[in-house]
Amino acid sequence: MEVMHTNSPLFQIEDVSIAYKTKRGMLKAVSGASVTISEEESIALIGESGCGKTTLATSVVGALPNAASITQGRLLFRKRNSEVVDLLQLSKKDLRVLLWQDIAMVFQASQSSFNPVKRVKTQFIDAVQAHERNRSNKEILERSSKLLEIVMLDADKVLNAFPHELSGGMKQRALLALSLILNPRLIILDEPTTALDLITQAKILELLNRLKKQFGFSLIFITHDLGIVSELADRVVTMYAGRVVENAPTKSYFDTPRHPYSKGLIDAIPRLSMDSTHIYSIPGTPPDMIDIKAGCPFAPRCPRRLSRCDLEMPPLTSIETEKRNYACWNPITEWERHD
Amino acid sequence: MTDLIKLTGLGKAFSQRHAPAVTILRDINLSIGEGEILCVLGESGCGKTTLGKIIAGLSSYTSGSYTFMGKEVSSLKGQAWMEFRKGVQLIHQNPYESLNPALMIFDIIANPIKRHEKISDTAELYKRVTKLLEMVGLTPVEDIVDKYPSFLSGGQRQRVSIARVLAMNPKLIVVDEATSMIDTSLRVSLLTTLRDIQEKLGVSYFFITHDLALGKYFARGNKVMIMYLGRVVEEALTDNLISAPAHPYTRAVISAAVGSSNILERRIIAKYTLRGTDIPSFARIPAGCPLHPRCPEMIPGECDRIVPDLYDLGNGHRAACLLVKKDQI
Repeated sequence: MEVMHTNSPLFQIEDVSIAYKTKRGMLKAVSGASVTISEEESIALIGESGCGKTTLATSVVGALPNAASITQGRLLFRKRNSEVVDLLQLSKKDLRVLLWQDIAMVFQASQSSFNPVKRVKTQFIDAVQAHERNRSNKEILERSSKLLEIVMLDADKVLNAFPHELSGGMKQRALLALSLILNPRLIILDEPTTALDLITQAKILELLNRLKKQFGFSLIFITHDLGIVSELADRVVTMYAGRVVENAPTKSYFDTPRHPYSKGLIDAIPRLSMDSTHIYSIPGTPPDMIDIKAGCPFAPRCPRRLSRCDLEMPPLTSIETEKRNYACWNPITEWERHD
Repeated sequence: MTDLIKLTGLGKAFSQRHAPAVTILRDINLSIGEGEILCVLGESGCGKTTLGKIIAGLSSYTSGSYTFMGKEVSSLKGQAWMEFRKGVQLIHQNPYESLNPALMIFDIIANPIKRHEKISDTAELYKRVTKLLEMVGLTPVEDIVDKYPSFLSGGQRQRVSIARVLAMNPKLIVVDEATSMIDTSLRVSLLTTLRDIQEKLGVSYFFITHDLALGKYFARGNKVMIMYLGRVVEEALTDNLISAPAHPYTRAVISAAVGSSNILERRIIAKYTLRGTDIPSFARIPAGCPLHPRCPEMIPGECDRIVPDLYDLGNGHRAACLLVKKDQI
């Protein structure tokens, strides 16, 4: 199952579908999602709650709940020795070696990710020794201190503290340092700044941008805050009802969204530099994910709906020159520029 | 315009068994007239939710005065207290926890009407519930009334909360981060519903948020108050505050909200950041101006000694900063 390939991208999510078993039937949380991420690229996964973005990201680290199963697709990761492996085919043991060392994930409930009864330094030591047995505590603590200082924390104080002694922003930054300790090449952040206030959030974003340059890792982050996207992402992947509906470079995404849902999302954010008293809002609510109707899932809410939209799911259309693709029968081609 | 509620020098301290009392709110002065909106903005832990709870009558205050329609709230008893509690309602932040999961939507909205208006005729109640659900945009009503909260999305649940609150014909609604758990695409329509209700019924809002752009949108034409460590540091009309912030803390908040890329806001403002990252704890509030350890424009010898008052900048714009006072002399 393992293929040798040197020029392949760092990580490829290829046509992945994930379903949850529920009392009412199978819930297709993700349907045929494909995303490619290159070295040092940063990708934002956006969409409403229940669109499958967290499910998709969690599948990468093999931490899906028991009720979920991956029904199709491949997760191709290029290892340090250029060997490409499908994460879904790896044994649990092999996957565990790869995680943290190559792929690290910081979960959404990051405030409660630390073990509350162990000092922070113990958790740094445990993480490293699980992968590199013969590292001495002293060596590990030196590296930990360095990382904690990079994330602007008082290393001595934090290492000797219990998690409850740290504030939300401090915990978030300590977790970032912890995720970096084995020098991973891909970091997945689920809602990195929710539960943080505006000023701390701005600091964390600035920090992530700096760390990305310094350590050269790739980043996948999940958010529903488009403000963060514009600060941190190179590329935006929009999901709706389990499908990727648009994938575009950040600047073009905001300037010229092609998918009506993307445009709706962008228009629905209040901005400071905006005088209008009316903000657009997408009518209706997201569809039921168990009783899926034929056609485009966004059609019932879409202002540009055609009769075809109710019958057939649009395929992903690529525009190679703009490095983007979208799934829409009636994409937006002319824009009222909003500046 | 007469003031619906008025807070004068209001303070709140929590006593602790083994340590001195911790003061959460200090010297809060504000008033809300009928049909007005007051937006309160601040970081988590600045005391804005505590203030909302005091205004809704769910928490007591330990100093100063709070009057509702001219009467001191802490001295209200019996019928008058009931009237106050009906008159000021609260919409909670989390719609997944604020609705009883074992009750149908009909009962959630009908129960308070039964309790307060002693109506038990089901047909009459159904009429009332229908009207309320229509007002918050949950239609068709027949599909909603016999559902349990777990069948509804976050946005729909929050609409049920609004309908439940409206059942009491309140004069003031405290909206505590009511949209922070709701998806972007549904957030704006929820706010629009709240504004429509205001136009129809003339209620006032005390709107608590940490999202500056959202506050600006919702409270357009009204006042915003910025809080830091339990004090009001600046207040102004929304547009004045955004275009001419006077307090260093407000400037840092605006700078953070605009961000450093010009993709979203399409403008770049000079970056303005505070020193350090962490908010001091309430048990150890710095002497003098509470912001001085983080303030980039701190005047040594003054800011760390003198607690600034709110200085008037005209047009209802006031800021608690010695720099503002200096400019005026």
